[in-house]
Amino acid sequence: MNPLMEQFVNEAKDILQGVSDSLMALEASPENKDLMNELFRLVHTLKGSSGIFEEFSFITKMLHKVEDIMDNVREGKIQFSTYITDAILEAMDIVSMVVDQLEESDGLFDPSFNKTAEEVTHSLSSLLENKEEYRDDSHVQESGEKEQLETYLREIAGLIPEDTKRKISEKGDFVFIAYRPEPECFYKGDDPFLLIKTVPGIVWGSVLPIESPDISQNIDIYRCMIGFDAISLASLEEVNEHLQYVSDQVKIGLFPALESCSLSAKDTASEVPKEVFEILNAQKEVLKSASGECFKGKVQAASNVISNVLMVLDREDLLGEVDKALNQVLNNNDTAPLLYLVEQIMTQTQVKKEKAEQVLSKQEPREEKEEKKKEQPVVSVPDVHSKIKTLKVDTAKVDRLMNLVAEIVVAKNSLLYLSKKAEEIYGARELSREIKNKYSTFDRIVEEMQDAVSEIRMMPVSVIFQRLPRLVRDISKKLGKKVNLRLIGEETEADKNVIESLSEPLVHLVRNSLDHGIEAPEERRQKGKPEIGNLTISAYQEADQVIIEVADDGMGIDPEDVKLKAYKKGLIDEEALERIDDQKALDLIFLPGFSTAESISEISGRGVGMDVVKNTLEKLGGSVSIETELGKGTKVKLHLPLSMAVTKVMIIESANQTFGVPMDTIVESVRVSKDSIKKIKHQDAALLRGQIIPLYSLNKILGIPQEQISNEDGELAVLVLRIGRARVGLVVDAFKGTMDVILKPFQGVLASMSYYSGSAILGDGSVLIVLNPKEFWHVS
Amino acid sequence: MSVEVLKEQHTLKIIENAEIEDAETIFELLQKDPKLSLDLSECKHLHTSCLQVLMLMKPNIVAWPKDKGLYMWLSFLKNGKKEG
Repeated sequence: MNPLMEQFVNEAKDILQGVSDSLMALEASPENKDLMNELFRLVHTLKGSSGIFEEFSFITKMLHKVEDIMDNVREGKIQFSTYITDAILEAMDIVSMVVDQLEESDGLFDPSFNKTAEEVTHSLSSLLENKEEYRDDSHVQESGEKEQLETYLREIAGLIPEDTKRKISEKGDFVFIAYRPEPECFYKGDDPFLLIKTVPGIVWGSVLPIESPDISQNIDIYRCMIGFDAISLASLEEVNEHLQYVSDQVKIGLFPALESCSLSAKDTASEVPKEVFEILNAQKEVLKSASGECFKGKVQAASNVISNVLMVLDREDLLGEVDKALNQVLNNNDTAPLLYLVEQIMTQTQVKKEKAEQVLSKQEPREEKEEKKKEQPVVSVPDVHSKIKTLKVDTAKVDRLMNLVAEIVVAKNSLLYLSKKAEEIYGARELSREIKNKYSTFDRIVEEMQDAVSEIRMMPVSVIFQRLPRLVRDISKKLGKKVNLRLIGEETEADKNVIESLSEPLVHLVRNSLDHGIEAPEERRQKGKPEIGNLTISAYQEADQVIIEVADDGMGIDPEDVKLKAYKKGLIDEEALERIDDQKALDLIFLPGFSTAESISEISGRGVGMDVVKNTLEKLGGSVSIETELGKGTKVKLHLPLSMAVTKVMIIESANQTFGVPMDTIVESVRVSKDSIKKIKHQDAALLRGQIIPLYSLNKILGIPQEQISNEDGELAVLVLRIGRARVGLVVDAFKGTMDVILKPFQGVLASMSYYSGSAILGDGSVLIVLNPKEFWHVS
Repeated sequence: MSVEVLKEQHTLKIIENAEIEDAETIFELLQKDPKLSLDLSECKHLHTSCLQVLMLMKPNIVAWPKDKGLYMWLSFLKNGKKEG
């Protein structure tokens, strides 16, 4: 993706969120003008950015229509309603999809969006058409403004060629446009010239300088320094519509051709260089001096020059007069008619300077303008020291920093090995101590560095929470349910990766709550509950975990129903149906292919629900639990690690290889005497603290054809692990202590090996394979 | 590339559309060689930024755009280069 598009994608994402937020807020308070203006601004910026790319013209067109609608709402021509919110959201969804795809596929997108966008544009148009009567006086200028424009028009009337004037008088009236683009317009993707050139019914136009910088100096050519005047014979409404997005930068007025004295010939004055007068004066001299043999030649030459001058002055209408005068001169041998004509041309033509600036200065007091100029130097460089407090950094850069810090951690650990080596192999005790000293300094700095980088990667959960109001709104509307959403603890922070992967499970949980949890208003009334259901999503920190709770006051989950359902789906057998207690029954929800909904709805219940939530959380090193009370509601709790940067692992040995086991799954490490191991059916088990723990050999699980080794006392090393709600014993060869490592997931072909969570590099440079015991036993 | 330098004719030729990216090129070329002429015969549109470069530099035009709509707007160039 090129940098420009990358910027577009990033910007669009921010804007889309802003649009969604503003719309939600607007629904709550439709009268709020500030919100509407903010919404308009956002959409306009988005439209501007999309306009930079030709391939996104369908987006630009669609957003244009959205602006139309909002413009009408702003002016009170359309009532703000949920229809409008829906229509705008629909349009934003398309932009969002395109942006997502651009990001995923590195700048490519499905051209079929074009068609979808067209459909939406069409439906937006029909929304506009079905509104109340469009009032004609929408853009009528305030009288003072119109007077100003008329004065200006009178001043520049001389620039307007005669044939244009003729066309105007044929039509009867005309629209005059004075467009002064804002200096920064290029950065918004505007092309003012294209805009003015394409005004409907344009018959005349002129470009004029607004600023006249010294060309020998450095000039910022990306600052718009020119303006435009134009005359259109289209209707005022058409012109207004064409220029509505720069309405703050244009002055438009409808003037009658007859009443307006602005176009009468006596007022003809144009911006003409001095040279024209010099040339005309010279011709006067030539004509005066013409006599004898050269008379004809001189007169003809002078008349040619006069004709050329007239062409330059856009007064082709007078060319006939020149020919007429020339004939008279040649016939009568008297230059008077030509001399008279030259005089006439000269009196009608005066040099008038800085016309355009005068108009501007009339629009705003001069002092104010100068002040503004002082504030905005030609090349505007933001005051770096005072303004920039936050930086937008590509996450890839932060990730790289993170990786580098991880490598330093590993490099740092090698110092310890070195000091050991110095003492044990080379017998240099002093040196060894010195290395250790250096190591501790190093260690402190690295630790701080690690904290600092982790902090950068921390993001507030609000990033994912902010999508929820829209989601809840849409779903509850579709289901005909009334829901009050409460978000608590949005400022709670967690690692970027945690936050990112949390989005999908959270959306799923919200859908579940709305679809299966909260009842329809009717049903709630019958149960004596308030009609509006409550959905509370809260986030908070607990020790080194982030907890996210999704709680509703709906119908709750009936464990009996769950059991029955699981049995019918063949997920549990008849025996289990009898045996399983309520809490375990609830856990069945997390089995793949389970769905309690009677019918598969559009919202949720596709049978790919809670198991996905569970898997996602486990991959993140977290867990999920459910609390429910029949008829009162359900609370789903997500437990997540605060940061995924550092993983604490226990190093174990099995079949002469070292492995890491994540500490969060380990309950305890014990030695179990071989004699105390009993066989229950074919399964080894041991009694530990009054509980029967099934024992599994790591070698067997990993397919290593070797028995686990016991120590001299005939005891086996057993790691008691917490897998779901059950405890299991993993038999290994030896324990080697714990360590903080930077765990890197496997990539490529290795990534599919679910028994391993990844690898880490140890201080001595060796690679540690970290196991993922949760995957060893799927259903406990 | 929509901007072409015809060395022999000592002319800068703009073909089809001059985009915002071309503004700097045109500006630099005209700054380096103010006597460079401009051939707009095949030009269909000038981005505002390019247009203002022409307004600033007032180059000599050897061929006007065939596009009537564009031609109308370029009258400010008809008076040719100003002294100084």
